[in-house]
Amino acid sequence: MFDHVQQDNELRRVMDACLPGLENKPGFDQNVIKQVRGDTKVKKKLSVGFVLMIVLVLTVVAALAAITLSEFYEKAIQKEGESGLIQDWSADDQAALVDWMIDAGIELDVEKVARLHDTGLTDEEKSALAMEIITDYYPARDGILSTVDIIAKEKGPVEYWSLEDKAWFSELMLEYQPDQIGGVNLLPGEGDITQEEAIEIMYAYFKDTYGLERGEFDETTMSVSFAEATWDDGSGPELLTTWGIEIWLKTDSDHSLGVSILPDGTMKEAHGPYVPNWRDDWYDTYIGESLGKDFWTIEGTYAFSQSGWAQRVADLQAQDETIYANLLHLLTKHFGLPGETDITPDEALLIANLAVSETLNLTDDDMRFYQIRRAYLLDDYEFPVYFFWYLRSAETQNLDDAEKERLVQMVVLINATDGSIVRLEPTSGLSFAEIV
Amino acid sequence: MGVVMNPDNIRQEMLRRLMTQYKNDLMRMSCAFLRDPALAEDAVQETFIKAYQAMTMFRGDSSEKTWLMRIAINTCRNIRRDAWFRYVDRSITPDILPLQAASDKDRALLGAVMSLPYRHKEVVLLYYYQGLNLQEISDTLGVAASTVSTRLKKARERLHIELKGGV
Repeated sequence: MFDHVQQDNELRRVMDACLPGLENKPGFDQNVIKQVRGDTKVKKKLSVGFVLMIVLVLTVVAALAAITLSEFYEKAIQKEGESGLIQDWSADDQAALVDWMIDAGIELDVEKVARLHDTGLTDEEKSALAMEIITDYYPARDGILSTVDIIAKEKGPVEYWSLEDKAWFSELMLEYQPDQIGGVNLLPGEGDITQEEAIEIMYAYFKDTYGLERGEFDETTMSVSFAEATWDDGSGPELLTTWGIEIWLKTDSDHSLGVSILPDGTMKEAHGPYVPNWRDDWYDTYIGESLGKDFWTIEGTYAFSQSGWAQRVADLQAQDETIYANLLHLLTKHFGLPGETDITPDEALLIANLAVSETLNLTDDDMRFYQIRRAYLLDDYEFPVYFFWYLRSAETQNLDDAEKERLVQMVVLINATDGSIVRLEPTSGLSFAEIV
Repeated sequence: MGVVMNPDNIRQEMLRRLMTQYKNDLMRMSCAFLRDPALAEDAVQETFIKAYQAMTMFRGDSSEKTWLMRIAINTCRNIRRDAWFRYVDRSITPDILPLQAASDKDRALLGAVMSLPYRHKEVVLLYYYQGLNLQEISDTLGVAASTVSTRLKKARERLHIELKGGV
């Protein structure tokens, strides 16, 4: 089921079949258009004198730093709770956010801020300018910015905030955006184990269970939280407070380890170091990562045949492992490389492409919607053959049904010694075992 | 003589095109995230409205599809808002969502995907349903491509265990 090509076809097919789209909502588009439509206003020029006046006022305001950063954050979170993401606020509210930034002592482009206070700006102009000023300071790709992004500029990624900052943020979210949170960060109290104790419990657990020494962990990656959230192990929801710690090993920056510890020191849940298994290795082989080349090329299938999987599968089967049927089938094939007297792979592909396009009446443009799997097979016939499997590429999802239907999936076998077509037929098979 | 369109009309035409091209996929993806068709429809509507508002700020840093997916993902996150704090919600079943006629096999696959942790579900749906590549998903979610790759691998591990599928 999770073949490199099958996965997207399978999941797409299931989701398209099982989940509702908007086909039965004919008024959806018009409803959206109505909501975005608005009137535009006449533009006015900004006078030099006005700019100078605004610059002077803003300079004085900035010098006073009327509010703290924390107060600024709170105002922003409150407003976000009322009006959604900053880009959804009214132009006046977005301009007000700029003023709060100045009040908090943040230095901004003075000329732009001056223009922002020109009463002649249309709402659209004001909004665009305000967002430009805001996102110049708080980078937000393509206009998306939330208050957590704003706070992260000062405090860094949220995972690494202090317990106090996380609890403070939770408090604000509870007050102004209570519907938006799934868990609440707290501070440990009397009777709760401390953060240091929780960390020691974690290290002891990983040493006892996996033999991992403290020095093997990269402590700079550790993130800690103390939070109340809903847990459900199948016996019903339960509100629990836990220490949550995540950390990486120095030798593996891809996979984290983590624990959840109850306030009395009991381990609630843990996930240990990543253990590679043959399924992951097979996946890496099949997507070509461990082969160093794409699997479904002549060189890739040959590399697979030389990679030792036959013995590994035999060993796994001896341990009663169930092996993927497609992998077993691939191991029955003898993949090779073309010999000096064979037609070249490019020549064979030309023959196959011509055969497919003539059979299905396709143009060169049509043919680019295929992805072509290739191999060189030695023992299926008395002579070696080039194997070409024509599958619809991901780009075909943008075609309509009629166009897709023309791109029939095909299998072509070409005699490698003389270029004759051995097999040319459509196939609906989704795995190699069903094809050859 | 041709018709000259003002900027608002141009944006509305672009919005219409985006809706025609993406609304059904976005609806299904939002259903998978939010497990409620009414919420999902709200999310899709909100996504297109935000896209319209953000059009003037779209600098072409990413493809149009990646940009729109980013808006959709953030919209669903805002509605769900569990991305910033660790918690476990295991009471996730596809039965909450009324599925159209589905075989047991299809329900199993959909249920397995919908039961993934949220961050894994995001990458699985963007990769396998929306057809984005790792770099595009990285741009959409604002995380490193290596993080996307790791999440995909973890998701596949979980799905393998859930479904015991083969290649």
